[in-house]
Amino acid sequence: MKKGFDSDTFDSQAVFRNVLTAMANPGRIVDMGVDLCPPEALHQASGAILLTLLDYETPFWCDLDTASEAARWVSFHTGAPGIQTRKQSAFALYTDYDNLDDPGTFNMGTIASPDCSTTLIVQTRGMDNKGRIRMTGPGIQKECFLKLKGIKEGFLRKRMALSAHYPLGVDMIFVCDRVLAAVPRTTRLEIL
Amino acid sequence: MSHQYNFAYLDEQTKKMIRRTMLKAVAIPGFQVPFGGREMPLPYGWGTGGIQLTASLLGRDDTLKVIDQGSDDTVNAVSIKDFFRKTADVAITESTRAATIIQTRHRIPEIPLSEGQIMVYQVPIPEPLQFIEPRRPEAEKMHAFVEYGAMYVKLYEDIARHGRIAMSFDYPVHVNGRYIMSPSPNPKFDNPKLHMSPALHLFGAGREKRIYAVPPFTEVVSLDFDDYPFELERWKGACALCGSKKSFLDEILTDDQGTRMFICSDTEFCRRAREKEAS
Amino acid sequence: MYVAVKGGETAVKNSRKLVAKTRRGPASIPEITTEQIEHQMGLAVDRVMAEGALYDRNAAAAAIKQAQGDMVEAIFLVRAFRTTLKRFGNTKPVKTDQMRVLRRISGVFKDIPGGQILGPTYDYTHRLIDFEGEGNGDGDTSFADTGIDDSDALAERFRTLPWVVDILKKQGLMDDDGETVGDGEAEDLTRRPLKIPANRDIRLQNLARGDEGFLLASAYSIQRGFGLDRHPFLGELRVGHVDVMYVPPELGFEIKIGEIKLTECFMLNRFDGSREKPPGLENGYGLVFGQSERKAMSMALLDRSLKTCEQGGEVRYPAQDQEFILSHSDNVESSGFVQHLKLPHYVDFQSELVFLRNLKNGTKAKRKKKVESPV
Repeated sequence: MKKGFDSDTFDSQAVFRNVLTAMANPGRIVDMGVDLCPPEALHQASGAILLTLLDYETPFWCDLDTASEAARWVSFHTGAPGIQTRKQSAFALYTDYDNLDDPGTFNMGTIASPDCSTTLIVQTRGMDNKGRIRMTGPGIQKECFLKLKGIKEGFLRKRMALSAHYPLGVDMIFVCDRVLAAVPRTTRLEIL
Repeated sequence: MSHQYNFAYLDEQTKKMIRRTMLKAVAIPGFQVPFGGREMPLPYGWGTGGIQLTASLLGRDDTLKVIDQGSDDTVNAVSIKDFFRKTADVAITESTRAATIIQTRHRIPEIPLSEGQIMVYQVPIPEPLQFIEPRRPEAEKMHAFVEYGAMYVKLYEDIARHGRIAMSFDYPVHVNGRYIMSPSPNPKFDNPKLHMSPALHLFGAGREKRIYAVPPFTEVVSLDFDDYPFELERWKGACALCGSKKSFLDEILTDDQGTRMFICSDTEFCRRAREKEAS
Repeated sequence: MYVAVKGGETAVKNSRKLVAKTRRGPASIPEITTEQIEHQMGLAVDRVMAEGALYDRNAAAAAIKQAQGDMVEAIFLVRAFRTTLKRFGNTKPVKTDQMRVLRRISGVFKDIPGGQILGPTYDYTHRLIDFEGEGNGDGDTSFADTGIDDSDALAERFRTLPWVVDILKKQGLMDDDGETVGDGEAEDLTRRPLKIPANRDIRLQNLARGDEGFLLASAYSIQRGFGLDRHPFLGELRVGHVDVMYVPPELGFEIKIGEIKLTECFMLNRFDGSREKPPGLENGYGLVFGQSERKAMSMALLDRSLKTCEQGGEVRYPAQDQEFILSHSDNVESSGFVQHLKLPHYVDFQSELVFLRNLKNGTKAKRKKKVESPV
């Protein structure tokens, strides 16, 4: 089994602060801030986010085989119960961006408890702030642009449709290698 | 019995739970997210919510400022700083600009906040509807279905009776056009500082076990009516120490005949103004 | 002149020193030991463990000493210690029907199988302060040779006494309404915030940790008609030791990891029947760490009255109101919040003064005009 963080306390703190910065500033591309070597199927940033936020209280859905090295690594280091049903997941991970489904199939929370919803991590081929996706909303001063390589327009359009359900929604973190960018449910997307 | 406490006191498992809660709070601005708040070695009502947030945020490179009533040196601010100095050995500052995290009770600094900074508020009663509807399940329904009529009726009754909205602190705000939120018991003077602020604002209510947030650059509007707009406290005089006419002033009684003077509530702001004057 | 502005740090330091000095008292008097507290103030230790929600006699005794006997402060110390402890897992439910009983009484039958065992109780002492005796110095030690057998061997004999309520159940006078919790997962009040309406497992946890005074006063209000239309009966009250069993995952079978002293109470009420339920007796249940009969009985009365809304009854009084009782029972919360008023509130008070002066001066806030404070 590959090892996790060098220091649970300080590495997870550093990663958390970077994830918080990303979530508070949608579209901003942030480095994960520490070093980590997760199993091959996982990008470094995915591994770091999972180790930072998951534990036995967070049901976890993943598009990998539960017997795969990556899935066992997450389970070993976090204790998070792996589950098959997306609707019950607190966290979910897509490693294969070609097979992205409707984000509305994950847990969007309820009108009384919109917080009880899935945080979805999606691995991409790369990202920059030059793309055709225009983002506005809380955390963004005026507007922000984001290009997510490998993510199909159809998926983003399905995400756009979810905005109508606010405060229900799915909060997303896109990752590539060491970097991440968040698109929480408050962010309005336009494809120019 | 010796007992080794973790960095910043809280165990990693608790920090994880609080961190997850913070992220959801940021994703749903103004919504009070319930969390499994823990007992802290400081009493409920004395900042346990803020302390739990700060403990879950802090890293070794952070610089922490703690204020109470705008002052760096009031007893509870001193006590909280002492707690984090002991448990996390972080750098402590009185400088708003130098701080990465500012934990506060009842004030937002007069010196403007900047991007990347995190404000942590100690919240006694997170529910803005508490005095209209003390029953939590009912209040939660009102938030869920945006049934805020009772709040506006209360404001309207104030106007009918007093000719003005009768709330002077903990003045409710509307966040991102969706949730009504308590800004914590800041004087309403500080409410405009939340609107489109470049900093991240996190609110922690330890006893009531709720966390909520205002992300940077988020619309925060104090409740009012078109013909009775939100208005700020103002003083005719200026701070007796630095001469500021822009800051929130505290009243100091100087004798038993009712003589009083006014000085800045924000001690750092006041000191800097005097230093500038002197140079 | 500006005392309010500077000097906080020194004041706090000095205050902490003064607490230490006051706690110790005159150096000419020997310092009390935690061992003495543990063994000679056992009921205080019991209360601190119960409301501190941690069965640790040593920690409770140390907390009582540190708090100069202020019970709520000692409870707070234990709670703050408790939250830092690592969790290994859940024990098996304790078997109170196998309690090694020190005391066991029933108010509903003259004789019960296994017998009434009076045991140690203040109930029949005369409350005359003994200035010469136990209260001062070594006093009366005659109890040492009274010939009372209070040995473990005797307690062992009183093992597996049937519950009075079980006898009533066999007679068809009571439902088995699930008051004996099985091996199922109970929710944990300390990990998730209280949600109203709360299930019975959460309600009982809340009451077991709740402030004794608050529970007592609330139960008393029930007895005085604020929530009960007739007299309740004490089905059974027992105090004694039970084994704590745990199944370590690596072993897979249960082992005894210790024993704890508990007080258990069953309170009975006549129920005249409804459309859904036949007439019979209703049960209220109380279980508390240590010997704390006042609290276990109060808890049992409240357990029943908090079922009111579940049973389709009208909630009319505070003691029937789950949110009222459960949100206000915790003395670490209430003590903190009431006393936080000692913290500075200069800023908010100033805002109130600005508002009031405007109001008094009759400066009606003109529409769309700024208000000014008359300085």
